[in-house]
Amino acid sequence: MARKEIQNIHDTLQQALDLMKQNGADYAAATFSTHQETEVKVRNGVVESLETSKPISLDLYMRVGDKSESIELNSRSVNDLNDSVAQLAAAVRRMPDNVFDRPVDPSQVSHVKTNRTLDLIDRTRVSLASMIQDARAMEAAALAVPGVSISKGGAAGWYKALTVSLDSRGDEFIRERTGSSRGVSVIARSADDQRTGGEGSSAVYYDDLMSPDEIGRVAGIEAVQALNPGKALAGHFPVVFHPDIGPSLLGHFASAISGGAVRKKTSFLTEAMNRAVFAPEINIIDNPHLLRGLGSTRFSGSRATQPMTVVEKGVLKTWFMGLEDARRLGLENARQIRGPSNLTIEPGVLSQAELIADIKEGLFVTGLMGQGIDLTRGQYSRAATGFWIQDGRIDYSRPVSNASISSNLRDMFLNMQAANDIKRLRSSKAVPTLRVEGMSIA
Amino acid sequence: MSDARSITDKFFFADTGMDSERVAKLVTAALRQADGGELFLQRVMEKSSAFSDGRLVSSTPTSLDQGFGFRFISGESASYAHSSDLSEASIKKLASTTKAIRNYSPSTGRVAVPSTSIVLPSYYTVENPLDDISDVDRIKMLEEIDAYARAADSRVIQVSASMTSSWDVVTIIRHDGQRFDDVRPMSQIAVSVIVKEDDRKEQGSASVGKRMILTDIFADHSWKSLVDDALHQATTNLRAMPAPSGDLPVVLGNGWAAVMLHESVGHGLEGDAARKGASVYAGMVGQKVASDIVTIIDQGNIGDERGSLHFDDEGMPTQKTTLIENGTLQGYMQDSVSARIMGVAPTGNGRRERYNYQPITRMTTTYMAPGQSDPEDIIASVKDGIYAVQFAGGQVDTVSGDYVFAPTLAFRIRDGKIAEPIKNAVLTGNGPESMRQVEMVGNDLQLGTTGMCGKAGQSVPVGVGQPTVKMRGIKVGGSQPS
Repeated sequence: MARKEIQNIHDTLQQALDLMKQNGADYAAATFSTHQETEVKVRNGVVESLETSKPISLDLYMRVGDKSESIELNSRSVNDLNDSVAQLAAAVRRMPDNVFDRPVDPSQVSHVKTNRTLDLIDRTRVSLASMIQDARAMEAAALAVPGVSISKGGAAGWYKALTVSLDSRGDEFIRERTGSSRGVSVIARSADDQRTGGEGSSAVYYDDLMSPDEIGRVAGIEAVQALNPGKALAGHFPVVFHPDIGPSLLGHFASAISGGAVRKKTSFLTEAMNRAVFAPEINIIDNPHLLRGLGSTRFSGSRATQPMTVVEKGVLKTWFMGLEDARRLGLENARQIRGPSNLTIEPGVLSQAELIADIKEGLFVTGLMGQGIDLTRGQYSRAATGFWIQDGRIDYSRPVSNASISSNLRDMFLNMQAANDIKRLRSSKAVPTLRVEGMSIA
Repeated sequence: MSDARSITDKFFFADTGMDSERVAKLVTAALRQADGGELFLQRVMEKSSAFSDGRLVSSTPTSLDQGFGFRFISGESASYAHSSDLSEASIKKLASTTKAIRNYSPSTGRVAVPSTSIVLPSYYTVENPLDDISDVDRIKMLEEIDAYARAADSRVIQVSASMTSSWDVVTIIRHDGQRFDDVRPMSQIAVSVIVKEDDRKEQGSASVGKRMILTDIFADHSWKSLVDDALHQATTNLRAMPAPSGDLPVVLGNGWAAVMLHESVGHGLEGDAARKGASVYAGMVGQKVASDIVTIIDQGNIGDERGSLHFDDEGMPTQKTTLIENGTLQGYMQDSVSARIMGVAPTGNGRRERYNYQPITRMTTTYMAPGQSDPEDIIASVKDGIYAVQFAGGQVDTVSGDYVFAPTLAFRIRDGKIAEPIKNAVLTGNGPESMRQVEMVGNDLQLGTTGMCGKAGQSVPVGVGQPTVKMRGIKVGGSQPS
């Protein structure tokens, strides 16, 4: 982004801070976000949609004594800004005192104020023409898979995002990043069934994306293999999660150790600190400094981030929580105060094939539907799509659809094994193939 | 609609310095070579107060989201640009970039638009929902809800309550220069409680959200009844037994349980999915797709309903559309682009979450028409089955028709009587198969009081409704073999 744009944003933020101070703020913070985005969608080779945008948003936070409140607007008009600050100033005074929400002690403010060292800006100029070409190539590769008959479309996108935060103490943080993405979705048909297959990729760098041919091929094969599913056997079996699906389990774990859930005791892991919550071979790492990482950042709020071990040999070592929750729980000085950035279940030693080799019968999950998660009790039940595992190998001729799999997350984590096939840049939550023992399949 | 016009005039023109005549000319000029399209101007003001953990966590400041979206349609394709900068210069600049679509998708002729009357009927109020109850009174009411819930049952350990009002001001200028103005109110109250008995914790929730001002919502629904509903659900679930497993008859309660209908059938009847072959219902108009007693309707012009609109987000009037009549597929819900490609009339179902999204085919209020059966007879007809009353939501794969739902309040039916509550049931099935196996339809049609629908990353308020319905062919996935 141009220097001039950052200067303009700085001026808007300063104007908002001045207004809040005039309205009685003892402390104020303002954040301005904007991004430039282009997206193209192609179906049957024809460009179906071109989309460009440059939205903005402004978040204001104001503190009077020990009362605080915040507001969002996306207008730079002086009238709207004046109105919003007046609204905010009135709303703040209706709030109860909250001493836990005081600003970070100045000694704890991060000295690093940009993400420049994390390689988050791709300087490649991605043209509209190349995005269209990529989308067409993905679609063509998917339609070339025998049995694939319909395209739901291919899409490619590019964005550049800028966020600037400034507070009344003069601390200013600048976040800049780029992102590219592409994906395709197709349908395979048989006489009495039709199934979707899809694949996508997103990355900070355009050149780090999966190739269009590979994406198309994976999507096409997924659709064809899913045709004419049978029923899974009912009973208790090992369930193996594809690396694209496993991150949802990591997401449930991150929610269960989040500050709000721990403080309100709405998580089954509320009492789990320093106890075994995963199988002893499982290690979970959060690395905010991963180069080109989708979740990378040098600071969170205004505090510096650092890599940390979340689960070590199965034992829970930290919560994910903001400053306010940490203070409420008396954990202000803990080093790990923040949310997840690039969270990974670290790879084990076995390949996917080796991980599955001793499974007589089980389910390999490639898709999940439904929202049957109760974090308070850890209850887990969702509808799974995938393939039956027979005698140590995935039988791709036996697709399974809409099988309900259930267990308790507590048991699932304690009975988990990880393969060695992790791809760290694929998602901000990355895992290898995961095997979970003893789930109930209906 | 003169009231709406005066409100949009203020926000989009008087306050921004834009001139409505010049903007209209700009739109028609920028779309001269287009097959269709429009300028969509929007300003959403939203006020929210929330109480949780025994304290106020949000005290009603009004957030603001405004901007415009400009769409240029060429052939089967569209180019879209949007910005939060409401100025003529910005509209002109972005509008000019949208022409590029002609290089990729040639014109197939101008979209015929109905010469919609500017004087539209009124399905909801033009009153401002942000101001009818003062901020102080909203907060006081939340405190009362918290105190009432905690006093009502000693097992209550957590109460969360929120009150949200939004005022969505919209002007659409279509490619033919016709201008439409609307102010869309929405008010919502939501309550959730957690109860604890011994080591067991259960949650219950209730909410109501309509295109009304809060005062009018409270005239129909007291907040006490919402708290009572949430408490009933939570305390009932304290006694819930593990759900059975197997292929059992399922009776769905009237009202909100229709979320299942919305997911398993509604999404497959959206014109964009149908025309792309991405629905199990594609190409089946005139065919039998459900049991004879099933009639399904989408209706965007029911008074005060959360899915209702005076016109959709393309400027097309909303209407009552019969999708399935006595089991036979009549047609699909349509946005203007899908309608044109399929050679049918638009049905007023082109909706978008906000100005930063293109309109796509969406439901409004989708419901099953009432049948003949007495709901008590329906329960009495089941020897062993499930009665599912409340759902948290569900999901469907429109291509295969497969769906999954998890009820949040459900009971076992034994020998024709409602028996013990059950927990953690997962209902899976296939939309068309389930609809063919509807055995009884009650005479007790009721609309649900809440509902947000997600599709392609866009979330819009929708309504659902149905009478009590009995069906077969649903797999109940519980942890206990039946």
